[in-house]
Amino acid sequence: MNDIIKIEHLVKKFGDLTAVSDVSLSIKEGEIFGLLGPNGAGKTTTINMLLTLLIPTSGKITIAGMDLQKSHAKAKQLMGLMTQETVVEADLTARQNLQLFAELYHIPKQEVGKRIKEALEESDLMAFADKKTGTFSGGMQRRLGLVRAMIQEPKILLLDEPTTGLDVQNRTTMWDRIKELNKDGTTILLTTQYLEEADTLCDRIAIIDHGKVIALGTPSEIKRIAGSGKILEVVVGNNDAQKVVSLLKSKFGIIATAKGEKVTAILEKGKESEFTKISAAIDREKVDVLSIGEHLPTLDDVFIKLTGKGMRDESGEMKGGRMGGRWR
Amino acid sequence: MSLLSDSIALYKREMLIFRANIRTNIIRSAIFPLFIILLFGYLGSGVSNVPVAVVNYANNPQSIQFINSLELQNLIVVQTVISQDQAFDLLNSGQVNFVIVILPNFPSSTGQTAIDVYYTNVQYTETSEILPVIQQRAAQLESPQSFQSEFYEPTGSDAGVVSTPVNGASGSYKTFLFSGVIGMVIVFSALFGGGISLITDRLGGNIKSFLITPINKSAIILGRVLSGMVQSTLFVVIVLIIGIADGSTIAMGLIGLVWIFLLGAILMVCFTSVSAIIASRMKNINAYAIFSQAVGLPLWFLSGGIIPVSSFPPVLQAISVVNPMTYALDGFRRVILLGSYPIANIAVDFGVLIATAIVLTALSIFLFKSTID
Repeated sequence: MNDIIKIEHLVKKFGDLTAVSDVSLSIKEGEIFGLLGPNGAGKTTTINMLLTLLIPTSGKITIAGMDLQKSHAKAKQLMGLMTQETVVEADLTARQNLQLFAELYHIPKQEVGKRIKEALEESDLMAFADKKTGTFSGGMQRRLGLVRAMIQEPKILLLDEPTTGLDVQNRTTMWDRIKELNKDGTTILLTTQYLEEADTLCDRIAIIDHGKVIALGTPSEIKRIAGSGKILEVVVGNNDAQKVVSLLKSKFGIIATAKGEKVTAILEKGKESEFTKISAAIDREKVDVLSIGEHLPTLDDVFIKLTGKGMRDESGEMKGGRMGGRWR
Repeated sequence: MSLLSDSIALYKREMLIFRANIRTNIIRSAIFPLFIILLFGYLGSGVSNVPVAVVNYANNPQSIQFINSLELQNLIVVQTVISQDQAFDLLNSGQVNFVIVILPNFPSSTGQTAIDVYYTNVQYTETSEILPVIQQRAAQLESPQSFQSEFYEPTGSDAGVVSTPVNGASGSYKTFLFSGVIGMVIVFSALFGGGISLITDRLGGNIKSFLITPINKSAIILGRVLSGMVQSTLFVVIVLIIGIADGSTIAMGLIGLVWIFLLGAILMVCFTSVSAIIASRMKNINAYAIFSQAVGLPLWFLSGGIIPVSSFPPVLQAISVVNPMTYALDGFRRVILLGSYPIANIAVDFGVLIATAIVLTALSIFLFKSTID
């Protein structure tokens, strides 16, 4: 497959601060590529350079064989963007929103009507076509944002945290739409702070931290970085976390880390069978255990291993339902 | 070609937003004229102790009686001089506002001109108050037709009389304010509407979503400027309705409206660009609101919006010359108060305003583009 986006030695400096430092990536035509990293890692700066909103300090970006710097008008025609705050024009109706962007993308007049109709049908917003989008719910606005990003039928769709702030139902719908668009041949570049989202959707993932690519591969390749064992996770009450950490160290020789109420430890291969022993030992110590479980490494675990911090630390947002292990 | 179609697409967007918020826009542009015309228009509009030079060529008992009658009610302070040249010197140097020449045939009973009144174009407020008084006092002694007033333009050493009769002019302070408020509403609508929406669009990400489309970046500013031009007509209409309902008149009549709308549209372009220039450097709406007022209010004051420029100290008079608003207000005044808009003044007013509009728009586009990266 061809590389539809080719980023070579991309650097962006803001004064003394290096936001992106020597990033090289190739995104193949037709794949869903995930760009992961904590806030301030350089994801958005990279996306903004792809969109020509920022001029790189050095390096080269090639879009479908075209040098972005030289033929940016043509390259822009090939890219659609939806961001987490994808701003629909609140004072305009859904139809007027689409009309505006159809005109800004220089879509031939005779085709505009057809495209708008298709977009309204796809986003299931036909009934609200002439309502002001300011009155729309978050999910409706996001759906409109997605079809608006696709109005010029781009080859590449950039999704900057497309599901942040959406409820579970809307998020699943969005995932389905993204998969459908990809099936129709659209290459998708996605940034997200939901690792589960990257895991479900992406063919390949790059993890960025401090402006550098620190891991690149398929989700299963990436997850192997966290080790071949399993992850032990204990949630305790009564500030007993330190107690569990010392217990694990003294009795099992396992180095665990405590963060608030949660204790996590990697159970290396061979020590997986000790899970029952560990939980029995913890029970005996009269620790106030809220939950205890083990699971296969998730991207979260990789993330913590690689960057030393969880994604949530930066986003300040708790999200549940990620732990794939057995709950007792 | 694409610049034009991109600008029109964004112009349509601005107009849709404008229409969606039409009530707010009408209220905002109606509040200023309502307050200022209705409140200040009736405050202290009385005129007193206006200095007038009188040249008495008739020098007969009736003319002396006429001069004495002028000084009744403290409205006029008479300074008698011996020659017309001396009187014009006083007028040129601003020591008197009117020159009354009593011709030798006073009091005339045949309807021939017996009294000439000359005045400058700067004291609009007094003109309307003083002229009828002079006429009335003269009429007590002779037939009213023999009174003639002329509009006098001080042009340095040239003491020639510009023969512009101002009989149609209405010059009450109310009307004076009315013409100034048209300018004010346009400038403030441009500064508040345009600049704040540019900041909210940038903070909200709307500008970003335009920038990733293959449009010409200048279209983002040009679309705004175009919509400002069109919106200015609504603002002018609102002020006209309030002003005329309040009893102000437009001396030039309906044709004058064409000039008012044209001047208003160009003034709007100037200040939409000013708002974009300020907004391109600001991220905080409150800071913008304060800063734009700090720009708008002095400019309005310096354009002679509330007080005639001629009453300013010389330094401020000099500053008012470089204020584009002064030229728009000059046009409004000539149309509304004097009823005549000579071609020379049209050339100056429109020349200055159009040039300013072009320079400011170019500057705002340049600054806007430079803030993108």
